[in-house]
Amino acid sequence: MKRVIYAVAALVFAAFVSGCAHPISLSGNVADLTGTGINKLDKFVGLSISEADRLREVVGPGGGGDRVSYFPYRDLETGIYVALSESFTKVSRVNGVADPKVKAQGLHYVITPVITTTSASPSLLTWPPTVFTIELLCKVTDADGKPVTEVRAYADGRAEFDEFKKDFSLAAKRAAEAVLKNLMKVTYEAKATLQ
Amino acid sequence: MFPIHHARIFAAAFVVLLASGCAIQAPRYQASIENVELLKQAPNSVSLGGFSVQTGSLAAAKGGTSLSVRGSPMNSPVGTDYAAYMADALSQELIVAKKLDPKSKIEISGKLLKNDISAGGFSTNSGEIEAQFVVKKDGVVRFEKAKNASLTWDSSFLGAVAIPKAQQQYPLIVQKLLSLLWGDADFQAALK
Repeated sequence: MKRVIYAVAALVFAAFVSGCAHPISLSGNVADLTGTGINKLDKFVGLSISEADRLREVVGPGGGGDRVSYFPYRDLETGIYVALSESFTKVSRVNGVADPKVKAQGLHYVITPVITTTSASPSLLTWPPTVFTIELLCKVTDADGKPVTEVRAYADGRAEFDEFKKDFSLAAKRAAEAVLKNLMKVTYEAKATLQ
Repeated sequence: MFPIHHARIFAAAFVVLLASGCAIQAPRYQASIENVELLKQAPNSVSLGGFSVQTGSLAAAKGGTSLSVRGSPMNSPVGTDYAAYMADALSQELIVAKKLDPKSKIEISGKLLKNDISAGGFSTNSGEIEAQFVVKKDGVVRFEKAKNASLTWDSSFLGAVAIPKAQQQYPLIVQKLLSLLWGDADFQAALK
């Protein structure tokens, strides 16, 4: 019995000092998204992400039975802002269609993203995800809140041990970079609706 | 030598430590949209000069190259120290605001003076960064000021909660530091 107590105490202590529920970040180098040179749609848009979404922490599976945690809206907000800045003449951050900036700045559209993610790893020994997926649904309304269209981008990111041993977030970052590039692509493809 | 059962206990503890991964990195800096929108108002583009840990500073003694978070070293994901992290942060915000021009005669450089995270508290933890920023135009100093940013956040007795929280907070302290720089009226005047 004493041995069991020692063993449990040692495992609890090890878990305590090491700290599991490993944080990962979806924040990539957003500077890479700039300077694409694509023809911008001549519209002013507002990017709306609520404070509740910004603080929303997602805990999902990693490898070895461990979990990973991240803040998808907070981490992707700047990337979405940059991607939209590459797609539209002007982008402002707003707090919903009721934000006075919508009328004051003459915004044509308000874009509200909905982010869905998954993480996974078949590894028994390492915790970072080897596969990470992101679906980015952007709901577009006019300045009065009337729905105009929805733009959907999806991407996955993959990373193996040799790659992620220096960057545990690598699969997530690859997914984020890819989904933001896809967002620019699908936004451009929706130009007939958004012109 | 340890008795057999002790060896098993330590082996189990070692596996737990190994699987949970003690070597940690600060999250890569994420440009703040508020900062970017503020920077867009700047009258001119700027270039970036050197950024280093100030010799003899608190950061040089502790925290400049690695931060200790509940005993786990947390390193910068870019470069070899946190001065490189700060330079990367400035670079990202300037690029997104389209205000970075390597040929600009207005140059921003900096020295990291203090870089600290205190993650030992069971209910709250805190972090503090201090840096000296210099703006030169055609080699003439037009702005020289130290900026200090700190944050306090709710934490936990459990390392599993406290360590990730401290990691997540570090870029936010840098965002706050840069917002103080970009928003400084003297700094904005130096960019004219």
